[in-house]
Amino acid sequence: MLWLWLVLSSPVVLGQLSASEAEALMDQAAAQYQQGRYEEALRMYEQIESSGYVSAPLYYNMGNAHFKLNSIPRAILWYERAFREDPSDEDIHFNLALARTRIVDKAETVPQLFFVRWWNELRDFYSADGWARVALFFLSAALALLLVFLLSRHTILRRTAFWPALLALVIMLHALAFAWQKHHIMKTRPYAIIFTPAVTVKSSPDVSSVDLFVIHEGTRVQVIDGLGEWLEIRIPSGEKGWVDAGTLERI
Amino acid sequence: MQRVSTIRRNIAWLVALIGLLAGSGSRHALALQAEEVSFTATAKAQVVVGEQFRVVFTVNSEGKDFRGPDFKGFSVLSGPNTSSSFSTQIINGQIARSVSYSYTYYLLADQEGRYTIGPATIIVNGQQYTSNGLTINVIKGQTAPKASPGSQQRPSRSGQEPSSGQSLGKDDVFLRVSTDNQSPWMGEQVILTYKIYTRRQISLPSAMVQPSLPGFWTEDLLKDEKQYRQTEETINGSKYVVVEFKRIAAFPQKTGELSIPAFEVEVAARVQSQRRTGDPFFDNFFGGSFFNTYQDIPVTLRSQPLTLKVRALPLTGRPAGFSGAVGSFTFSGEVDRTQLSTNDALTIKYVLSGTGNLMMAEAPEVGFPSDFEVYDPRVSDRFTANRSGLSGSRSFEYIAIPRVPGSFGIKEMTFSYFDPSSDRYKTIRVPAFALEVVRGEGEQGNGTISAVSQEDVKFIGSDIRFLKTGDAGLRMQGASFFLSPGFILLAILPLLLFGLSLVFWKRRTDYLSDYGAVRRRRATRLARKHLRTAYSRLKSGNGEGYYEAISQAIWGYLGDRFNLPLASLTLDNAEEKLRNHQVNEPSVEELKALIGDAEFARFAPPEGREARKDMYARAMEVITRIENEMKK
Repeated sequence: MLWLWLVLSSPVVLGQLSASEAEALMDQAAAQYQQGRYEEALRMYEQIESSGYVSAPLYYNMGNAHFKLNSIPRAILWYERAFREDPSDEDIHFNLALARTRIVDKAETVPQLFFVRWWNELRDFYSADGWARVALFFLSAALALLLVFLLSRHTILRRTAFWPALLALVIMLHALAFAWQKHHIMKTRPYAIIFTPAVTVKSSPDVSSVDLFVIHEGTRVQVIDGLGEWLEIRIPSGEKGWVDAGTLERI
Repeated sequence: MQRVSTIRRNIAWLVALIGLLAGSGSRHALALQAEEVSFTATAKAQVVVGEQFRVVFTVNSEGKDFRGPDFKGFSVLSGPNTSSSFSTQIINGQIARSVSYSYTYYLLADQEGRYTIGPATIIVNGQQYTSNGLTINVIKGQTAPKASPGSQQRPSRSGQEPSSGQSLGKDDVFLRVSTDNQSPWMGEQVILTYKIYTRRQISLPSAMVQPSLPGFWTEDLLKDEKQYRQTEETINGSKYVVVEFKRIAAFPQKTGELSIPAFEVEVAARVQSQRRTGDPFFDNFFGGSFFNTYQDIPVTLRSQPLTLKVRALPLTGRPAGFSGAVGSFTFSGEVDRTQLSTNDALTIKYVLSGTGNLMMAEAPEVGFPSDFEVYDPRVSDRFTANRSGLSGSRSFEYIAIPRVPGSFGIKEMTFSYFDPSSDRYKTIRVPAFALEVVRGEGEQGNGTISAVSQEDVKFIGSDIRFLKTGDAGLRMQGASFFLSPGFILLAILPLLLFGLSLVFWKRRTDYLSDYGAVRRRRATRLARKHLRTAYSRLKSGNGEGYYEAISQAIWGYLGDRFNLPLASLTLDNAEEKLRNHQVNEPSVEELKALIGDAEFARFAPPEGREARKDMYARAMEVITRIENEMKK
């Protein structure tokens, strides 16, 4: 029974890094990366990641190491994860866009309605936590301004406080909605990257069903539904179909 | 004479056979007829006593009725031995055949002196031809007699010949192809050797085709050799003469099993043909050895097929700039100068040398500064192919012209190759060159850059951005802030504060807005304050001030308590208010009495300290009583 206990507990025990150890390992990995030893760097980053740490720079650096090792789909996966953590970072945007030019499938997106696009772009500006902070700030601001409006004896002050208070309230509600959506995305992880070099997308969750189209590694798909080992996906151009769950990895 | 007739019979037989073998095409016969018949005798001009030597009569056409001369002064050891040779040449589609028949005598010089051998005769196409005569000088000498012609011939007869003696065993002559490496890496040099093993005398064709090797890049390694290399080898107890007639450096161009097709070569092998005369006595007497004829028969040799397993170069450790070079190389580079002026040409030469697939080496990408004008490199090769393989050097000469002065650098160059001897990739570096470019004399030294010559920033390559260093902001997974207790607390807190401040504010405004209530609340406190003042005046002996303070306390209390303006503060009003508030009658009466006493005492203060003090106590008591009895 002792060995069983060891086997069960050891990955957790060995895998755990304290915050200071993880930070030190980040620096070491960066040094390895700089000397061109990308595999070593990647191994260190993976060690940190497997300890349960989350951070946009960590994911971004992992993406970079994968990119340098020429495994583009993995690089895209980690850039996407970094993007999920910190959508406002410009470097993540840049590298993700560059990595996407190195895959087979051209990202052909269906043009969305302008307000949907704006909504999504605005939503991607912060992570769920970022929007949560924004919401808290504007909640405080709105309430403070409302107090001024309600309690001030000077009419000028009351007038100038009313509209900003209303605006802050609207912003707060939107930030809350964004945070909620981001939180939902994070929880359900509806997006995934294809990892098999070429995947034939089927019309139904059945091997013998009709082949609809072929997608290649590195393509980002949206997972809509699942049935056993099959997942219903939607590719950027809007087409839907079924693939084996083993062909992709969720962002 | 009998011997001669036997010879004649032999020849006739042979000629008939040859006619059958050669085919009876009229065209060939015509070609032969057209040729001039030559019939010559050859022999050494000078021999030593006791030496065996040959006299050969050669005719270039089929003949019959050969009559040898009388060899006076010599002992005839054997002869005439007939042999024939055919050779066929195909030049530009035209077939040319040449035939020669030779009649050989082996003679032994008995005595010294000068001897004449008379001419021989032969009949060709019904016409008699006479050969030339020979004069042979026999001199005295110490030369030991050589081995007999019989023993010279022995090796060719000692093999396991078929009884007929005409065919060739398959072990007598064969072709083998061998390689120095059965499983080369892709691009690695493999040396293929084609060898003929023979126990017979053979002649090789003078021109030989190259074996075709699909999937290989090949180089003939023997093209500079003047003659074939011959060695001796013993295989299964038999001695063979080995002729290495082809040696090829082959570079596999694809991976997997590559087969080397069988290669065919046609050689002429000399075969002894033994004829039966039909005369048992004759055959037994001579043992068949005197009447040997030789024939060159064509033999097609075919090499065994060979398969090479070509291995793909390993992926692990493959350097970024690897371009397929396999072998052993050196790489060097040099610039002709490091200081130059603008518009001067700079020559940079990179030389790759060594053994391996040099011919595949491509011009390296030199990292010139973008302000340099660079021309295509001049590639020059110096390859040598010798027995050990293909080696040499390939040089790349670049010419670049700097257009702008300044300090520049030509980036470090690397050349990567795969070393099959260690199964590793190796990289050779040529360090960067630093260049100093000064403004040429013809140029104008204008310090400012005119707007015309301005350039956009040139983007030379695209690469991902560098790592994020510094604070990584690591946090444990699952620790999402949104909807966490902290978030909810921070959301509720402002709402709570908002509500509380609203309530507080409301109370405060209400409180401040009601003046009467304020006065009412203040009434008792102010009355007590006035009474305390009165008491202190009593102590200090200020009698007048004492009563004044007492009445002020009482009147002030009433005014404040009922929120009465000073103008309407009369005893009647106060009495009415008190009654309205259901204050008991004795208390009202007591208050009226007290006010009266206080007014009176102001103008006629009573004597005695106790009486004065009593007034203070009465005032205190009546205010307390009223306050208690009054309905709120």
